[in-house]
Amino acid sequence: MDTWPEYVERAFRTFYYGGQYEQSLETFVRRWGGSDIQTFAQVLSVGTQEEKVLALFAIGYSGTPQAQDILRPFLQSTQPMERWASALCLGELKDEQAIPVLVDLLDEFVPPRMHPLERDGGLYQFWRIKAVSLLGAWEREDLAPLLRAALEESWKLEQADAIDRKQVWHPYQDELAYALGHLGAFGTFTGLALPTPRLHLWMVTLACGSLQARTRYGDLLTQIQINAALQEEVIHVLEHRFGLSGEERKQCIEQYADDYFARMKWT
Amino acid sequence: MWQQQGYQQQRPHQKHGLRFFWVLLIIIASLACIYFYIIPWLASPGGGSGGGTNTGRWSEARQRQTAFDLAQSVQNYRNRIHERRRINYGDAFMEAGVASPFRPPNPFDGMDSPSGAKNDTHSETKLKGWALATIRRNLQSLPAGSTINVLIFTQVKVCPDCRRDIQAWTKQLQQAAPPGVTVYVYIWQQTDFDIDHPDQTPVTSPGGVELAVSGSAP
Repeated sequence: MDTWPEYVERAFRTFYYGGQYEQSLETFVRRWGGSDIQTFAQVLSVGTQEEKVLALFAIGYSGTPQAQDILRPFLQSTQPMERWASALCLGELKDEQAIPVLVDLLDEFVPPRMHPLERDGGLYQFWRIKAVSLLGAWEREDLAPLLRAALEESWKLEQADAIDRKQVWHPYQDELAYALGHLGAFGTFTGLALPTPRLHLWMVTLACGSLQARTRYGDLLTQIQINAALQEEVIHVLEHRFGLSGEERKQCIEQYADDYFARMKWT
Repeated sequence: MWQQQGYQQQRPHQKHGLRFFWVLLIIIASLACIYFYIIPWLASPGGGSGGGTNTGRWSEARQRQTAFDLAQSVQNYRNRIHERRRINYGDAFMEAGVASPFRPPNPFDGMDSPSGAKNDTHSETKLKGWALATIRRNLQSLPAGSTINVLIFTQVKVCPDCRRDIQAWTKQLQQAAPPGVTVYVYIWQQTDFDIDHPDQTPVTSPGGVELAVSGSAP
């Protein structure tokens, strides 16, 4: 099997988000004769819609100095996938022009128009999660109300969804809570009628976002359970930002994994 | 008289024949019981776990049968929720020589993480998180010398990052277990899963799954 530049693999992983992208990559290279920036630039003008989206991601992730100039016009594309792909790439480059499109992604193609368990709906949901991560990392406080509104909306969508489909909302909601923590929006849950296990779960997730725990330590589900240093940091946030008692803080940490899995049960 | 003698002479032979017949019948019935009930029970996900039995490291056959059962569980789950996404699913099974084996509430989906390590949100990583929680919550009173077997099944082939991480995961699980308890982790995968057409590549026999990677703490 051939090996490809990291930015090319990443582009294909972002489009073929469930994995098994290798064959599509090889087919693409065979068809276009290469995987360099010139090839992707050519694909942008004459490729199929799917190939154009792949080219946008490849150019965006390549680090080439022309990337922003090439990608910006696609922010106004009538094709949603082109608009989303260019916004996600420009968002990584901290290009302010991407922000309105990234914000629009939060409520574009959500139910009833498209459910995240559908084929395209799943792709958009995956990209939506990436958009939330980018918006959180922007560290612009004015984005907090928008992300909070998206969390509230997704909570309502989960409540309205069938019992065996609710779990599809969890990764998106967790990402929103984490991003809101990154932005320091500790009042996020004010006014939201959440059951205690969900409130505790998201308070810990938000605290982890404020600490950027995922990039510092790794996957939260594991680290919250066994990383004593992270536990201490989270306890400090829960005490100082949420005003939780010692017993409540302990319960939040100890119950985190149980709360994480309990929401998946069909009861 | 002769007939009576003959009759008396024949009776011990008949007795021996009858006894041989019953012994043979009992042996055949025992073998049938072992073949039809004991072996399948031991090979099934819940089998062989009762009464504090310490099962040790699972055999290849036991792992394969468990992975096959999980593969079917995942397929059924996808159908039940009308999953149409281009996405991987995984499931797990844990046995620790106590009354009941452990299963996650449902199979877990998996995709790349938007930040941090990209396999942080893969189904294998989430299932490892579930195994960790289960050991911490339910298996702290296991006696030294016990064994915990954790089998994770995934439809999409295991990525290089998850392959690399399995030793670290095993170490995390081992450290969460009581002293003297040994943890074995196996990750099995489907041999021919087509993520674009999951319905067209169902696992129909134990031959449809294969061991990807396994780990045990030193």
